[in-house]
Amino acid sequence: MLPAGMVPSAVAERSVRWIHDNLGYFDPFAKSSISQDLRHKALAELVLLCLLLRRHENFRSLPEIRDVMAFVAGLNENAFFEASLCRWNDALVPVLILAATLEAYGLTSENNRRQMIQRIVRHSNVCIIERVPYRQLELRHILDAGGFAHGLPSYRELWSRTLLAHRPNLMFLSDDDVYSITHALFYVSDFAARSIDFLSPQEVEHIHEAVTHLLGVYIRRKNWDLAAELLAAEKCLGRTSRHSVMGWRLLMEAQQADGRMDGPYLKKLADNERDAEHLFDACYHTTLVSALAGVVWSRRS
Amino acid sequence: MQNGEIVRSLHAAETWLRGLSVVLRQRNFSERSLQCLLGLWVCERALDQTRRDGPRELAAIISKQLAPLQEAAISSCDSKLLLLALYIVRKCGYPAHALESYGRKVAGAFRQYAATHDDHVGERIVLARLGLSNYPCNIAVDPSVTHAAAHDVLRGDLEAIRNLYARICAATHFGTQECRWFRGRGQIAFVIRVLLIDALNSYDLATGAMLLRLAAYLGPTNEAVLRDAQSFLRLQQLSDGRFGQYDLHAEALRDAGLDASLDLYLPLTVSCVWALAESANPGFRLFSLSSLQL
Repeated sequence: MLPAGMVPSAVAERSVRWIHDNLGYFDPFAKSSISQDLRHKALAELVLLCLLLRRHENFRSLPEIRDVMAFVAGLNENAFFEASLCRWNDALVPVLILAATLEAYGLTSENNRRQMIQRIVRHSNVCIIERVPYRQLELRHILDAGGFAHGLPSYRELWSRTLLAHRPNLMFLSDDDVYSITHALFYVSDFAARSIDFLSPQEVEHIHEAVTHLLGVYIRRKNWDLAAELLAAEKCLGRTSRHSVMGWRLLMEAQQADGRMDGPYLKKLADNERDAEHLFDACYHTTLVSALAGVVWSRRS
Repeated sequence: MQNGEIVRSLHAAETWLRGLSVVLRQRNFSERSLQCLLGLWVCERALDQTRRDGPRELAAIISKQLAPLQEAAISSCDSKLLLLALYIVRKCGYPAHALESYGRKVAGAFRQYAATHDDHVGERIVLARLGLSNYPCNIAVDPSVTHAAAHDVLRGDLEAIRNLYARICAATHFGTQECRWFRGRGQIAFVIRVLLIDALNSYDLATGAMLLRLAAYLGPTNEAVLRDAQSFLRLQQLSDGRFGQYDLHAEALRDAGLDASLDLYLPLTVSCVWALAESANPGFRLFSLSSLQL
């Protein structure tokens, strides 16, 4: 339990407001000095957040979310998505997220590509190409979330290949390793929507201990991106701790008045890179994951 | 000591320190000789050896080096290190007049104060072992090491970490006594483990070694984080026994006028062996009577 006044959903709502106010920067087809790949990544992450927000009555009814989903539905009409699906293996996950989210919001149009996606899943290489384990978990999670048939191994089996399943030495972890830890927990728990039933209570306890210590490390480093992910990961384990109270207090203190959460690379921007686009580039992910943490910590409707 | 890997690690470090002590014998007295003596002593006591060859030979040299010197020659050295060196030289059966004189002077200074500051508890404990002072029972440890204070340290700088180190060393007499009265002890232990992960992950081995000892003082020592830290430190040991993968920077060190063996590897190796010895074996504490007595 968090103390009164410490409301993760308020962090999420403020983050959603910032996202809404910066929506144009999520458009991968707009002219930009930022790479198109980064815009596509940002869009996919935004759409996944919307899928999670849909699960909560108090978030899905936010006027900002209606606007965001209208924006996403408009982008979905672009021929790029269908073409990329047929041409590139790594396009499947973003297109799946898009399709699953639009369906969840009842926004499927004549451009509904469910059948095409299902054919690609069955007959192309997308499920058998080599991915790092947590990316394979990601694929399985979004296929399940979207209700697509597939032949991927079970969560337990996919989990057994992850870094976290091998009890890593925390002293050696890089930031990328920690992202793989948080993401593995997101996918096996469906972002805290289900308990991880293949882990014993002792295993959960051990993983929770690692997560809380890493949370402390990233709070110390003022890396709100991984701190927010680790707070969300803690909830995915069905656990909370005294350290999460500290984490939420500091995350709330770090949030800017407009809802933005400063990303870990913001300080590295040169003075001539402090324009709105670069600011977005440096902060969008941290703001998204802060919203995500707020969502998974909120009571589900 | 139970942990075979750590025993092997301490043996290797002892071999390296012995080699370095040969170099130090041919030089003028410096604080480095005292550090090397302490490292050899820790290895020997932790490994429960009885031959005392390592520290004895260097103790004899230090005794000779210091014989013609006045106290001024040692005034720039760390006071805890000086007192520990006095203890070791004495136990090895050699005179050390400059160190004795220094010890008496420090003991006299402490007698004038009713309470001891956190930073000086180590000196008080060694002075008591030397018979120059009473055992320090009246240590004025600040009881405000609470939950909130621990969180401040979590986000604090190296100075904040050093202050926490001094407080906990004072409260636990360098891990030789239980400290039940800490409010929020579990929270402080958590913060120390976080700082330990952060330090070693950032390759700050000296701070990491210090925090590993601190984590061991608060216990329990069978925590996964402590085992990970021990494993990490052992993996930083070079084949000749010294600690730290810094050979990459050897040229830069030379350019800066530093002797890598003495100025970098020696203090780091002593810190690492001390941390490994104390964290692997709760029965071994440098400042405990059993570790200090021969």
